[in-house]
Amino acid sequence: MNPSQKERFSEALARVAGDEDTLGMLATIAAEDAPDMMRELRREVADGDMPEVARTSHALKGLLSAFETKEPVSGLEALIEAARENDPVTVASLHQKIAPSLADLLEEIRQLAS
Amino acid sequence: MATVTTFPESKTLSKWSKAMPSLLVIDDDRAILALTEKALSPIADIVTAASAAEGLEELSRGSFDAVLLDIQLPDQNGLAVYCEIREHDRRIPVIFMTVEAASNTAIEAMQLGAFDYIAKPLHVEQLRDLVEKAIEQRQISSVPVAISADDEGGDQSAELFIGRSPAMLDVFKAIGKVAKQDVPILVRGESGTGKELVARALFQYSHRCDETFLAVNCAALPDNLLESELFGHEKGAFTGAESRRIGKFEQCNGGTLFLDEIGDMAPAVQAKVLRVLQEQRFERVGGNKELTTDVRIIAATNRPLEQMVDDGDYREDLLYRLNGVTIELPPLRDRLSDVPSLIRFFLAQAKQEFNKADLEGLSPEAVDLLTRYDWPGNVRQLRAVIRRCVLDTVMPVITPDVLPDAIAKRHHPPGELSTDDEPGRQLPRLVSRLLNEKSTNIYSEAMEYMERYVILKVLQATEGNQSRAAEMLGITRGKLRDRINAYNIVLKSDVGVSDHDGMETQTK
Repeated sequence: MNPSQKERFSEALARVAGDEDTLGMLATIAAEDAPDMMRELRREVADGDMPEVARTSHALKGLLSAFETKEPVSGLEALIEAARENDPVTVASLHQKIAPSLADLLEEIRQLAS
Repeated sequence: MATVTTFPESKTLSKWSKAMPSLLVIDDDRAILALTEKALSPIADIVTAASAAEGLEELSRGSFDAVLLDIQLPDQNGLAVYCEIREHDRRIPVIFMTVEAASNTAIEAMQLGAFDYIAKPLHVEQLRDLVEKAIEQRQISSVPVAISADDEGGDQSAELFIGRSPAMLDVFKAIGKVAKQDVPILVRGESGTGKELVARALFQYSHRCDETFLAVNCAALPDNLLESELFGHEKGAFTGAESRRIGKFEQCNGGTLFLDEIGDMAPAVQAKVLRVLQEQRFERVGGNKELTTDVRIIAATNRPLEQMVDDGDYREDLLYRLNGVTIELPPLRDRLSDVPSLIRFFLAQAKQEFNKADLEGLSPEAVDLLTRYDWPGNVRQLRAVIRRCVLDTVMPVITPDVLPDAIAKRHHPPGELSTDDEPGRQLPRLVSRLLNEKSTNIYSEAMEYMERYVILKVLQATEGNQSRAAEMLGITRGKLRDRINAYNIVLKSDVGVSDHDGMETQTK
């Protein structure tokens, strides 16, 4: 990990007791699994499949929260709630808002894994 | 990744009594499975499952010391999985993992008896501490209970007659002797020793047992109200006395009146009580008519009445009237040998009252701590502690970690001894306790303690080698074997020597 990555992911590193190897392992898994989940989420939002949006968002939040607990990951919580309330309009709006930030985060995680 | 940092070695690995505990992790997030496997492998063998079905399948195949369970699984709700785990083995501590730590599901899980829950993202040090705690709990819970929760229940009055300590046997004898004598009785003892139970027993075994029994706490009422409560009042006797009131002395005619906290009585009331004791006569407050009553008085106090007489705060003539017969209730610390019986009684009561069908009892370590505590609040405190433990425990066996801090702080995990717990250090305490209990078996008990200590120390010195130990002790191997069996000394040739009290000493 370079100094800026250590700074960027200092909280995540603290959670794994400073073990960069472990964080790297988690980054590799997230870099492999998250893109499919994000694609699925996009499709489910477009289809208006609220139960599946809630399930996928929940799983994505669990996966990415190992690296970031604030925005954009915390934004998934609102998405989950809107999906559980069966509100496709709010879900679409929220998804559109956080999707670019999620993609940026995923890119940072990919670099951590490499 | 430039740096490789390993997790610090678990300091507690050696405390597990079996080679390596096993942990089942059920989560559909493979990052969680990988993280738990990496972080927890120094302290447990990890088996992972990515779905509820797979997890339950693993559970049926293996023997696990704890389960880490995701609350939201793709094929089944975590709570339903938890219920199936409980059906399989209700002793397995289950720790829920949840992204939403404050969720209703997490609360519901705790209500169902989950060991604990941990929020995601997982913090590995917290996770490891929690898993270690769960494994320790599992292992402690797996030993046979020292006191079963199913032994006995019984009605509340039976509580008094629990115990075989010499001090309590004296109390029982005194009750038997004086119950049928129509004399006032003074029951003395610290708060929480059960003075009202003695009063009720005196009543139940008296000739007046079919008549009324009333109890008045003299400390609970202001002086003027106490006077009115005991003797009654006439209409208009004081502001607010809108009608005549019959007092306890009148109401209890023919029966037994228990006056608790008799030391907390104003001089005017003391004078009226004295008159009842002497002449069985009194007047209602504000009344002129003399009334007669036939009441047996049983009084109780934890206050130094003699000192109060010397200080001018209590009537000497009342004290002598009251303490014609005195029953002294010992504090619980002077009858610690009765604690296990009392625990058994309160445990059975609480199990029934709180509907804890799964509760099996108390671990030996918990019983040991409870029987070594001083109990400043006496039997009442012991009862409260047992009830609290029954409410708090999520496991079938109550272990030291659910005891209040003041009691549990004396607990040291196996392998860690406090100075007090070191074998041999308890002899002065043992002799003091036996003296307090007026034991007639002090020599034998002290010698047994000494013998066990000597044998333990020599076995530790020989690292469990019995031939060498017998030679050093100057006894035959057969005799040493007999002593080892008699004192339940457990040899662990590779680790140390522990005795049945859980004291364990590492040998290098």
